Amino acid sequence: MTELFTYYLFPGLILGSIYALGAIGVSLLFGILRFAHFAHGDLMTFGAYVAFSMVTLFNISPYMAIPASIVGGIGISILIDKVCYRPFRQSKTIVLVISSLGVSLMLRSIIQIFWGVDYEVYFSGIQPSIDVAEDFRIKIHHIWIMLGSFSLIFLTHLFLKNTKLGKAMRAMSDDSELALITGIHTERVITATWIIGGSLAAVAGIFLGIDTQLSPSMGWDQLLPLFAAAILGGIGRPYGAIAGAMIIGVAEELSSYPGFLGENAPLLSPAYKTGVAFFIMVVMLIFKPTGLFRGRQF
Amino acid sequence: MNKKKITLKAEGLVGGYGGMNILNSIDIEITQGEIVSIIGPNGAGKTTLLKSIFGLIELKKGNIFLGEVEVTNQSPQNMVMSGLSYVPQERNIFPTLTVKENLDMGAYLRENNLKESMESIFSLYPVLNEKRNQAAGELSGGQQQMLAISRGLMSDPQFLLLDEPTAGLSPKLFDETFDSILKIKELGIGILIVEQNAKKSLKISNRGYVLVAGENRLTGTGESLLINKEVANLFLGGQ
Ligand SMILES: Nc1ncnc2c1ncn2[C@@H]1O[C@H](COP(=O)(O)OP(=O)(O)OP(=O)(O)O)[C@@H](O)[C@H]1O
Ligand SMILES: [Mg+2]
Repeated sequence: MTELFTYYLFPGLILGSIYALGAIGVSLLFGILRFAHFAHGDLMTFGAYVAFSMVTLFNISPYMAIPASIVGGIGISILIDKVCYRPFRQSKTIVLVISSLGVSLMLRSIIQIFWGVDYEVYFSGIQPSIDVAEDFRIKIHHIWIMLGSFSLIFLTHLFLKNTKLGKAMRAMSDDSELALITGIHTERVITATWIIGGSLAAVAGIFLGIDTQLSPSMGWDQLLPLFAAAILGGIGRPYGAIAGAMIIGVAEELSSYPGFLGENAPLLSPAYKTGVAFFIMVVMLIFKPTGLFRGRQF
Repeated sequence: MNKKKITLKAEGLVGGYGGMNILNSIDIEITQGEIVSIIGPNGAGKTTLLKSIFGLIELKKGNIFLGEVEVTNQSPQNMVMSGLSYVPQERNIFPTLTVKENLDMGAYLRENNLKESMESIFSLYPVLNEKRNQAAGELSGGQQQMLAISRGLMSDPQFLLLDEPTAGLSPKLFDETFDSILKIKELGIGILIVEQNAKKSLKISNRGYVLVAGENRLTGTGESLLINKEVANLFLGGQ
């Protein structure tokens, strides 16, 4: 049992909370701008590398680099929106999707040019951990990642629930034409969405870098679980995305738990982990395309 | 506090979607405290007219004046700030927002006296007060329509443009809606209403416009249109 917790369930929740930070952005952006933002993973990568520069330049911990990385993430998101998406606001969805694929390629190339193509880590050596119970060890970093993600998710929730701009954001996600009729500043809402999406993605990138390592394709590789989480939760529903992310994260980790079959063989080889997200996404799209929380249909 | 009543006046409106003109030449006017009906067959351009006045569709010709101020082709946002409010026929509430949040959004461009407006709306439609924390999408059709009108009132408008506010309502709710429209009129708001039920709506109207194929066919006081033969043949089942 403790093995299940230590090596599968808890890491699944960690992975899930990292996914959640990315998937909230994907879901919000889809709700407001009506397109699947394929460059979202690369925003995560960008955030991770900005933090990496801070870590190497100033010899600080990656947690201390979060503010700088958020600023960088917001800056690049707003810039990309102005240059690559705004001209296409009135165009068909597919134009924006293709544009975001282009942005994704460009971002990755820029990252490779600036930071190189090798794997990097924030810190080397064994990561410290603490004993919670007998045979139940938790890495200190996992506690920070969990606390960090949950506080950010909670802040986002407070913003969406209680501020005028947050409510306007949900209103526009419900019906953008009615938002316009009501007098809501729609461009301001779009900028706010990029600020939130960009910040959360940057932090997700840092946490992913802390949990694993940095590489120019680290964010792109998370695109499938991010979208699977957003779809599972009901696209355009940020709260659904959080639940979806947790389910995907835990399902991915549990898929290789050996205890299920009674023998000592994993259910699935860990190499098929990403297949789990893909499988859940396809099943949802076929049987319940609006997701668990009744979101928008693609 | 006897402020001068403002008139919303549209002259020679021409416009439509893309290259196609739906409005060919329309004149219309309404003063605060009046109810003015727009009636006409399906596809006559009634909805297009409301959208054009509100700045959702660009006009190719014509002028719109609000008092002395020209407001032709202003953005919907500027229209709200100038004192207009538009309640579309469909998709006129935010379904995942609560009733209260919908009303908050109606007041998006306002800073003051929100409480007062909300109180007067709740006295107009008490059921909205009971359901204030419920998601708007869960309300019944009639309640959603009340909420849509209330959302329009929250910006404290001088003119309210209503597109078929009674579509699909039961006779009882129909009468309730018309009662509330009369109360809104008493607040000094001008109500420009598009209605399928020409008879009932002309009865409560100061004036009416009959639109056919994007042009003014007939214009007159509510009563004169009610006894007009052509109107009777067109819309009133030939009584
Ligand atoms: N978005 C649009 N794009 C192109 N044409 C449109 C659009 N909306 C409406 N039309 C056309 O414009 C004409 C007028 O439509 P409009 O909706 O203004 O009529 P209406 O008088 O409101 O009719 P109804 O009584 O059915 O509501 C119709 O021929 C319609 O097909
Ligand atoms: Mg219509």
